[in-house]
This record gives sequence, C-alpha cells and structure tokens, in this order.
Amino acid sequence: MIKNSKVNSTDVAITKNDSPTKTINNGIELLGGISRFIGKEDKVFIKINLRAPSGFPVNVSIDSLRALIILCKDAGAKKIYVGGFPNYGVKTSTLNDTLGLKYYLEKLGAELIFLDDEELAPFSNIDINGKNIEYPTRVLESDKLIILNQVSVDPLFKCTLSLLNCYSLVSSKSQKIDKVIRSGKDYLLLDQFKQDLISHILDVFSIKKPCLVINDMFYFLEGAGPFIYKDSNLIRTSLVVSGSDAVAVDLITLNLLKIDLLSSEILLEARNRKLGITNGSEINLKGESLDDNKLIVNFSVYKLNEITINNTYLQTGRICSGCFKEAYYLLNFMKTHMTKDLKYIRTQSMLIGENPPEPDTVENIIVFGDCALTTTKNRDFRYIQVLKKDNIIKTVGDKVKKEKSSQKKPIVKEKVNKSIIELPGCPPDMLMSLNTILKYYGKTQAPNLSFYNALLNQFGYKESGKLMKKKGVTNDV
Amino acid sequence: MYNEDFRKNWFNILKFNSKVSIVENPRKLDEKVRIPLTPIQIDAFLLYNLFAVLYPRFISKQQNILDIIVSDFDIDNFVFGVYLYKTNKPGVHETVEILPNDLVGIKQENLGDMNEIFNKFQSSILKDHNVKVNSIRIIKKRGLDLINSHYGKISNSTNYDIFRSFLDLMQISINSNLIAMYPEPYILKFLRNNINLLEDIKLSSIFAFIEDLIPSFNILVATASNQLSFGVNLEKIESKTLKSDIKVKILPIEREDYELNSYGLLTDIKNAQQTFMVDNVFNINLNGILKFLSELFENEIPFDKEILRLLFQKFLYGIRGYDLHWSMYPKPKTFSTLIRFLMKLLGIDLNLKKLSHWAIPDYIFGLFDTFVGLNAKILLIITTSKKNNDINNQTPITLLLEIENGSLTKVKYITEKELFSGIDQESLDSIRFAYSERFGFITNILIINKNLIKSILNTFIFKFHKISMFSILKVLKMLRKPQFFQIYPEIPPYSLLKRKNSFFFLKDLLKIVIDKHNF
Repeated sequence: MIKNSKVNSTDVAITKNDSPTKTINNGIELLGGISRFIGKEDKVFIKINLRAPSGFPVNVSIDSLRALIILCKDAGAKKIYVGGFPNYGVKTSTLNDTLGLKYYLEKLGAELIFLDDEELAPFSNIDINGKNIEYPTRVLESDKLIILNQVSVDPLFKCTLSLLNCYSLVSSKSQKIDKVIRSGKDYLLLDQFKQDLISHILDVFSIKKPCLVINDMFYFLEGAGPFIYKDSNLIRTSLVVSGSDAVAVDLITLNLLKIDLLSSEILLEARNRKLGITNGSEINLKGESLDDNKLIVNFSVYKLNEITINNTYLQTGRICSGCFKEAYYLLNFMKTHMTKDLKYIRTQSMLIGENPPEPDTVENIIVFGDCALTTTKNRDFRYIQVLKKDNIIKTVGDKVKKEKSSQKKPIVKEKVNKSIIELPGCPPDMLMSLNTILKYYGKTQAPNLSFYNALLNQFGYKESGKLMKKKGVTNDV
Repeated sequence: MYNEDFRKNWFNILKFNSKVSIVENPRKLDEKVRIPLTPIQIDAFLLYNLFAVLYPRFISKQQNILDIIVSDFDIDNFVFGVYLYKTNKPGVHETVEILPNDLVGIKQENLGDMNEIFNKFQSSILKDHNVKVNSIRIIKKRGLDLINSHYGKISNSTNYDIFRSFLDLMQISINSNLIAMYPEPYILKFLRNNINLLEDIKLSSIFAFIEDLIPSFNILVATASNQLSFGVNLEKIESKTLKSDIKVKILPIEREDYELNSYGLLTDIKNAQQTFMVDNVFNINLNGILKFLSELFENEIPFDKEILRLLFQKFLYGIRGYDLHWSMYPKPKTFSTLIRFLMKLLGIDLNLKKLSHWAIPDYIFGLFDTFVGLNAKILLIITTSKKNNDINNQTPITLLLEIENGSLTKVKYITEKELFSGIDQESLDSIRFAYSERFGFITNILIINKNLIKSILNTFIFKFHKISMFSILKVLKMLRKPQFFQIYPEIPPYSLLKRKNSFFFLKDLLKIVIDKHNF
C-alpha cells in the first residue's frame, strides 16, 4: 500500500459557497492549504469521473477540475495528469472527441491521460489479496494522487463515493466481477456479487491511497443516476466535502445525506480492513456544521418494479446486485430513450433474476441474466400452442362428402416460442442487450432505439451485435 | 401629464366603448381609433371586442380599475394622479373619473407592499364612491414620460422604429418596475421573468435581428368565432434603396361573408386570400391559441423540465391539428394524399398530421440532456458571411446560453470581442478556452450562419405550403457544411448527421417524428 499524504488524516472540511471553484478553494484552505498536499516538483495524478460521452454530471465538473489544477500549479507541481477509465469499455479518445478536454487541459497546464492506450499508459501488475490487478503505471509513479469525485445517486451504493471513483483507475475488463459460487454458500442470498465487488473496489483503492479527496456535491444528481435519465433531477446543494482520508470523506458525505456507517456496506468493509477512519468522533470536522447542512434527496429506487415503464411488465425473482444494477440501467434507458418504441411494442414482459414469476403474455419476453435464463428453461412460456392447419385437399374432400367438420376436434401443435429475447450474462452487458433488443424488434418497431444505436455505433460498439439473429435472438458470444 | 395624441385617442376609445351598450348595432358606427402605444389604426368595435376577450383572459377578470400615477422620488406629494375606470364588462374601459391625489396617503416606501396599497384604495373608494375597485395599476412618472416620448415617435417614424421603441419601452418599464399591477397578472410576471433571463440583450435588438432574417412576405393570420373575428395582415416590404419596413393591419372579418366549420375554421379560406390580397392565409382556431397562451403564461420561468415537455407536446399537437386547430391557403403540398403516397414509395413518410407530438419532446430532451448535460454553457455565434471561418472578417453576434438542470436560465450578450484577438482564429479550441477562462467552462460552441436560419424559417414557416422532402434535405445538407453550421466539440447526433447520407438520415429521423400508422 502506497501512502502519499503528509496531512493530518482526521481533518475533513465541509464547505459551502456560491460557486464550485470558491467552495473547493475554501475546503483546501481549511485543510491547511494546497502546499500541505502537494510539494514542489511533485507529479500529480488527478482521478476524475470520466464515465461516458455525456455531459455534466455524468462526468466531472470542469470548473471544479480547473480550480484544482490551478491550485496544484500554484503549489509548484511539476506535472499534472488527469484521467480515469470510462464505463463499458468506451475509449478515452471517444470521450475526448465529445468533450474536447485534451486541448483545454493542456492550456490549463495539465495533461489528459488516455489510460486505455497501453502504449502511452502502460500497466503494472499488482498482486493484492491473491488477485492480480493491472494498475496504470502512470498513477503508481505519480508522487501524489488526488480524487475529484462528482457525487450522484448510485443504484448499488446509494451515492457515488470516492472509493467507487478510485475503482475506475483500472479498466472495465479488470473491474468485471466473475461469478464465483462458493460451496455451501448461496450466491444470491448472501449477495456474493456485491461482496466480491466491494472487496475488489477496496483492493484497487488500497494499492495507492490518495493524498486528497474531494467529494464535489455542489450539484447533486438525485432520482435516477449516475447517468442522466428521465427521472434524474439536478439539485444545487452548494456543498463540497474534502479531506485526505477517503473513507472519512465518504462517511461525512453519507452523513450529509442522512446515511450512517451501518447502512453502508462498503464503509463497513473498509472499517474491517482498517482502510481509513470510520469512527465519526475521530474525525476533525472543519467549516460548515454537519447537522445544519443535512440534505433530503431522492435516492434511486431499491426495487426494479418501482421504475414504471409504459407497456412493460416486470417479473423479478431473486436477483444479485450485478443484475440489479444492469437491469436498472436498461430499464431507465428504455424509459428515457424509447418512448415511441414502447408504444409501438404494445406489450413486453421482462423476467429478471432466479425463478421469476410467469410472464403475463407469451409475446415479447425479455429474459434478463443467466439466473433467469437457467431457471426458466422449461417454463410454459417457452412453448406456444398453435392450431395445426388441415390439409386443404382433405378439407375440400370432407366438405364434398358432407362430413360435419364441427364434430372434429382441432389439432393443436406445440411450438417453440420465438418471441423471446435472451440476454445472457451475470450481469448481461448493457450495450449488447440494447443491440439484441433492437435486432428483435427491428427498425420499424423501435425507431428511437435504432437511431440511438446508430449514435452508439459511432463509438465503436458495432462489433458487439455480430452474432445476433432475427427473432428468438440471443446475445451469446 | 399625458401626451396629447395619447390622451385624445384614449378618450375616443372610452367614448366609443360607452356607446356600444346603448347602440343597437355598434358595428355600424364604423369608427376608427388607434391601438394604444402603437401606430395601428383599428376599427373601434373590433378593439372593443379585443379588450372584452383578451383583457379578462390575460390581465384581470374583475371589474373596475384604478390607475395611480406616482413620483419616482420620495417627495411629499407622492401621488400625481388617481383615475378610476368603472367597467361594466371586465377590461372594457368606458368612463374615467379623476379622484383627488390625496385620497389615500402613500409614500414611496409603501410601494413594497402592494397588497396594503390595494386594500387602502379599495376601502376608501368603496366608502366614498360605492365602487369596488378590483385591480390597481401603478405607473411611475418616469414610465409615463417614456410613454409620452414613445408617442412622440409614432407620428414621424417607420413602423419598424416604432415597434423597436415599443419593445424598449416595455423592457425598461418592466426591468425598472415603472409599471406594477395588483393583483399581478400572470402575463406580467411571465414577461418580467423572461426579460430577467436576458442579460445585456434588448428586446428591440432581437426584433431587429429577426426582422433582418425574414424574407418579404404578405400574410393574413385570420381567426373567426361568434365572439371575435379578425385578421392580422402582416407585410414586410423590402426595397433596394430604403430600409425595409413592416406593415401591420388589424381588420375585422365579417362573419356574414364566411362560414365556419365545426372546428371554428373558415370553410372558404381562399376567399379570404382574395379579399385581403395576401400571399398566404393562416387560419387559426382562436380558442385553442388563447388556451395555450394562458397555460404558457401561468408557468414559472425558467420552465420546469416537465412543464416544458408538456408545452412542447401541446405545441406539436397544435401543429399536427391541421384542419382542426389551423389551416392555411395555399394548402401545403405535403397534406395531399397523392404526394404523400408518392413520397412514401421512396420510403419518406412526411405526414405532418401524424406528427408524434407525444414522443418527440421526450426524445429530444433525452438526447440533449445526455449529450450536452444537465448543466451547460453554450456559446452561440451567429455569423453573416458565406465564407468559412469568418470570425476574422465579421462582427458576429455572440450569445452565452446558460443551462441549469436542463432549463435555460440566462442568455447573455457577449460584448467582449477582444477575446477573439490574440488567439488562433482558426481554432475553435482556442476560442472555447478564451471564453471558458472568462465565463466558466464552455460546454459547446455553436456557430450558425444567418443564411441557414433564413433557410429554416423559409422552409418551415414562410414557405410552409411548399414544404417537401427536397426542401428539408436542403436544410439538412446545409447543416452538414461548416460554413453554415458547426458544433464544437461535436455531439454524437451531429456527427451522425455529418457521416450519414442526408436522405437516409431524413428517413430515420422521420421514423422518429412521424407516427407509423398512416393511411
């Protein structure tokens, strides 16, 4: 574990002002000034949220980032690197094209690091807790690491903490949690996915601890997040929490949102692993009063059924956090970007998790995730009963013979239901899921998704759809 | 205290209004007056009806109005005039009574509590005159001076200059609180909040900008109902030697001459075109438009996102309601079944009666929020030259649009042209950086050429009757050319437009904006 802070780690500042720049500057001033964190000739790496080719608050507030870069320059930093891995394997270069960051940062005296370009930013293999993690060498070799974290709601951890921000110091591939079922343990009951995820996040965090952590909640995305959806709402809190101990900063951030330590699994695990201060009484609060600034915000839904989508019926069984998170993203995407498609589709059922209830109809059934796929393999909805058509010559013959057709029983034949969209994976990949859904419904029935898919294809996602088949589609790869 | 012209015209209006209730057929009076504050001559009975319909809907539904003229300074004789209008019909001013200035003792400091002033005047007038005043208008002397000065321009200026002067008068009066009303009507609040969004931008400049963009035209906007039937004839006259001007006539439409269909639209719209000698006639259902405007004015500014979606939906619903909410002559080609059928053979489905009003706002807002962000600062540069990268040669109009939580919160006119100097003129990067240093991070720069705006206005408004696949394709092709349109950094929908063939892009776009089931 690499520590790079000289500052008293018990100090946490809560600051409030009328602009993000002033609020960040005040916070650092309260903590003793930037020179307590950054020394002359230091190489500094600023880890930011760089999630997707999207606007604020999906990505960091550039005004906040600017304030921080100027402070680092004032402290005499030799080099200032800025970076982070985008979600879903999107390239940093794609984000740069959409946000135009490289030039802007260069003019400010910092450098945007394309962490996914192995030639420019090589990796070091770090063994930690029996895992081998590919960690960017540039970050390891930097003298100081700063986390500038945009706080928004999060479906798994209530809000996007700085510890989660640290996680995107490694690639999406390295972030992937493999489903490992321990003997005698119920994967779903124990929510092993979330436990493994938390363990992985803390492993990555513990490789190199930041010297300064800033939880920027000057604007806070509530309702649905951290991406922008129809139910998202941006509120101005004018607050920033900063300090040198990420765990303490996250704890105070959660406290401001009226969440205590015991309600945060990730901070409890951090306490077990002694990764930071989790005892509120040990934290030396500076600036604004914690009690006077507590916020009432709308967190994201706890149950998928609470996301109401036109013409879509959800049937959920037992579900792991991984599938919950991806289903949450998929459902919110549908609600936001598929208004017209959902009207044209008329009705669709989505089965999620282990042993979901039967769908209401046998048409347009989305089976989401490995658990749903395996536990519904022999379900009734997989087959449909169709009336077998009589041989026309025989029917005419019967009529000539004046046989009474009413006495005949119709012949019923069982066929495989092809109106099923299978989305395998634990959890399924969001972009592949969208591709599969589009292949199934087609351009005419899903014009909004088709247009959106064309937008996504510009980012280089096209390959993911190669193995799709029309009708009865699956995104097995 | 009042300009003589203004006073004379206003008394003529009052005199006429008072005659209406005692004359058997007021239409036959055939008197002309001027719409207050404008140069527009109008049939007095039409003005009477306009007041009777519009005043209760947008200003006050209550009878009896009191005007109070006050000083701008805290002096002993603060009140300069008190005028009582007893109205039999809300909004229809018939008589005026001058009341003593010291009827109620008020001072400048009392202006902060309009409710108290209102109650004092109401009880005093009720006691002394047995009239219940339900609405007061307070006008500061400076406001009156501005009105008088505006009137001075009416006799010797072009309509263009008078409209600009009127907009300046309105903006200054609202910004400086020279006019106040109690109870405050929604429209006044709406105007004030909208004007507050504009920083260093004059309404008259916006008018001048728009006037410059629009081509010469001669249209009639007609509306007819049992209550109120009139047409607004708008004409822009361009000449090579003189500056262009706009003519506005408001004319009564004789109900006997036209039949209305069950939706309140003229059945023989062609007749109106010939009678009024105009190029185009837009026939609008008055009730629909008044209802829409009432709802619009009732909202807070900046608009809540959901409200904006809803208003956008209603607007689009109005557009798709051809022959229901509106109609026009000549009839747009795209409404011909045969032409639509032929276009459909090419895969182009341009049926505006099937505009997806219910889905378009969601999709547009969704894309905007996703790719631009909930908070954004957009630098809008409007250029005039046809040449590429003309920032060097021209003086472009530069505006900064500030968006918070997806709503427009401020529009600022940028006068700091010096930001362009000393930076690489070719590079939008450097322009963006320079402005970001001055105004905070600029999310996107949008450069639009005036010719593109003109094309859009022509295609979708002034030559709407000629709208076709080809005219829309022309606009799309212009959008792809950097001399007409640029976004920096490029957002994905625009990149797609640039990469994709315009015809196929239009096909996909129409699938989003037009409903599937057609014939």
